[in-house]
Amino acid sequence: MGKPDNKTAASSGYSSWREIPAVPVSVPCKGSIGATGEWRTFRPVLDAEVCIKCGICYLYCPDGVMIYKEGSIPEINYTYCKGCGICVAVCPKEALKMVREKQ
Amino acid sequence: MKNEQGKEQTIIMSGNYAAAWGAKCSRVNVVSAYPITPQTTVVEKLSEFVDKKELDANYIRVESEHSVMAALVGSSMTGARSFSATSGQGLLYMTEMLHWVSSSRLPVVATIASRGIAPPWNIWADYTDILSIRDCGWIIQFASTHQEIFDSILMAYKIAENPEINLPYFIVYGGFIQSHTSKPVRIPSQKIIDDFLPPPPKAGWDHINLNPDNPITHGNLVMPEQEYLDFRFLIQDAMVKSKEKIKKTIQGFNTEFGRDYKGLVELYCCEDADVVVIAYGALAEQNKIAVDQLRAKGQKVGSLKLRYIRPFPTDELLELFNGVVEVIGVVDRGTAFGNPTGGPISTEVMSLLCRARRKVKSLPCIWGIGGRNVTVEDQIGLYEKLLRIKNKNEYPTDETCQHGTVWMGLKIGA
Amino acid sequence: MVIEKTKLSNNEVTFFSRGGQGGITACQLLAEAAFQDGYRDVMSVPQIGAERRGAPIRAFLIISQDDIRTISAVTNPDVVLVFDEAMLKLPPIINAIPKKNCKVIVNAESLNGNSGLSKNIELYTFPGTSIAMGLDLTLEGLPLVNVPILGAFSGATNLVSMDSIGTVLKNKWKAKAEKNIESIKLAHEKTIRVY
Repeated sequence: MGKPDNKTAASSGYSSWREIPAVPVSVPCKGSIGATGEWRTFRPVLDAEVCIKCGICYLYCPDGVMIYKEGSIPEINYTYCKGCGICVAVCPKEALKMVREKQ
Repeated sequence: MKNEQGKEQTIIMSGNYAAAWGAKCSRVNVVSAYPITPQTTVVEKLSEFVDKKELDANYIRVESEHSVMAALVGSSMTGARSFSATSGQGLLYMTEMLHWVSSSRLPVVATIASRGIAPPWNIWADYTDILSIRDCGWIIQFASTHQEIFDSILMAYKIAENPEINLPYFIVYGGFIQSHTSKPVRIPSQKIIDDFLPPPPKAGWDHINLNPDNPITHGNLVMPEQEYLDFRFLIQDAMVKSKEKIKKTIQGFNTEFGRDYKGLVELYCCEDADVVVIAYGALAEQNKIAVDQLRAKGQKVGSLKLRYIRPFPTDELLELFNGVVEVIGVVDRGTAFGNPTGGPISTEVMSLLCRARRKVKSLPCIWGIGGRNVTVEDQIGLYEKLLRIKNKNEYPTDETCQHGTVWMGLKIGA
Repeated sequence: MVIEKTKLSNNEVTFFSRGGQGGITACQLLAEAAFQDGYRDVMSVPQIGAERRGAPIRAFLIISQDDIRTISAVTNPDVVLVFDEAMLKLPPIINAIPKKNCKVIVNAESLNGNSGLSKNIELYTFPGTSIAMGLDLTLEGLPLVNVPILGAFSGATNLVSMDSIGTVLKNKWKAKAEKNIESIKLAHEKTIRVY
């Protein structure tokens, strides 16, 4: 049986069962399923004036795209933000809102 | 008693202690188990070994059988030789995690002291527990003697850890009739055991290795168009290929330890037998006495013991059916309600009859479930039923025969 | 002591005791002693379930010059051991004792003719309770007859030697084995054949 390889899930692309390893194993890599920012139709936009730097959006973001350190205003990595809107839903100050992507 | 290096010793011990000794002599690294009758004394003995430092292993205490197997998924992924033991309801409770172990291709070994499933509560020999999870990707072997319980654990790790197999392994024996019965067991010197079964690779398994210095993700979502189906094929492929590895390992073990274990099946007086009873576990072992007594009276009868049911000994059974046998009886000490015969193994055995080149008559039986005593005289009684089928084409017609299957011992009044 | 080599390949023994009397331990000890005596195979079968202190319990012993291949309860024993005579009043027990070709050994000071046992068996008694009380072999105030009964078994059947029983007791209880060894000797001496 083969050793785990470093192929990412999205690009597995095996053509035969003979090539696949015994079990599916992924090694950490950035955005293993691709640039998920392309999935987005609405983007979260942060109003830094209203933000109280609480970090709740950072805790809730399912994709880890909120770049945040305690006491700082979060930044959003739009390459991978898929626009799910959870950060908007959890923000206690309504500092985030969803804005339609320009075509 | 300590197992001294370099000296074989014979100890009178219960089947459960034979299982604990097997794990100890395999130098397992991690044990996790939850006590359940009739398996409890396996756990007691192993915790005693660990406590007295006779076994250098981590004993992980958990709150349920489900957690037992979850703990062993983790331990085995680090490359630790991992062991457990359970029974009946406990086995059913760990069912979900059994799939995690087999589909992660982890060589965990567990012994099962099989018992009846509740309700009503029953703690005696009945293989319905193991048979109801027979398709979860574990190798399943029946051990019909105490020595075989001990020896099988050593062979099990050798087979399971083979990089071409990587499948978990169950060794099954009957609750109470084997778990609590005491018989002499030969414990070979630790040195020759170590030569036969070296420790697992220090760096962990090739295919999966949990290591904080080299993080991985395992078991996450696989899309339908990706390789879920292909990974499943690999498990079936490994199952089928394990047959040869099992046979080779047994041969090697026999040479090294002076034993005489057969392969996937053990044939007894079958070469010229017109009538053969197919069974598994201790009943199959005792069946040989019935064969001896009937042979002494000139009856050409034989007995086939299924040593493994996963992988299933397809070729061995077809060879029997393509030979001279005219009638087979298939004994299930377990139930599978609503399937063609009501017994899980008789259904599987009889499914092969249509692949045979000759016509073989058959009679499925449910027998000894819930620990009902089965004597040699009872077993002779089954041969007599089969001989009537052979000689007169007379199938049983009394009330014990229901829906095409004989329920041996069904109470039908005077 | 020379062990009688019986013609039977299997010698089958049934133990009738109450939960807590040590019948299962006695069965196990006798299996070990028989193996020491050179029997090729031995098997002790405790027929226990959920723990049942005080309830009648059966255990089975098979000792053989051949490999033992049976794995079922003993139904037609050559020897029966009864841990206290009161158990003979219980129908399931008295009915399970063979009517002939059997040695029955009962822990009793004496047994009168109304024991309910067949006259076509060999009946032995031994005063196990007074031996255990005399040597202070007790557990929570109750006399332990499971060791003296081994001496009575050896005396009545000659199937297992006193030396081997002594060795097994020493291995199990080390320095504390003395009283137990004394008790098997006393039981061996005081075992009498009633008929």
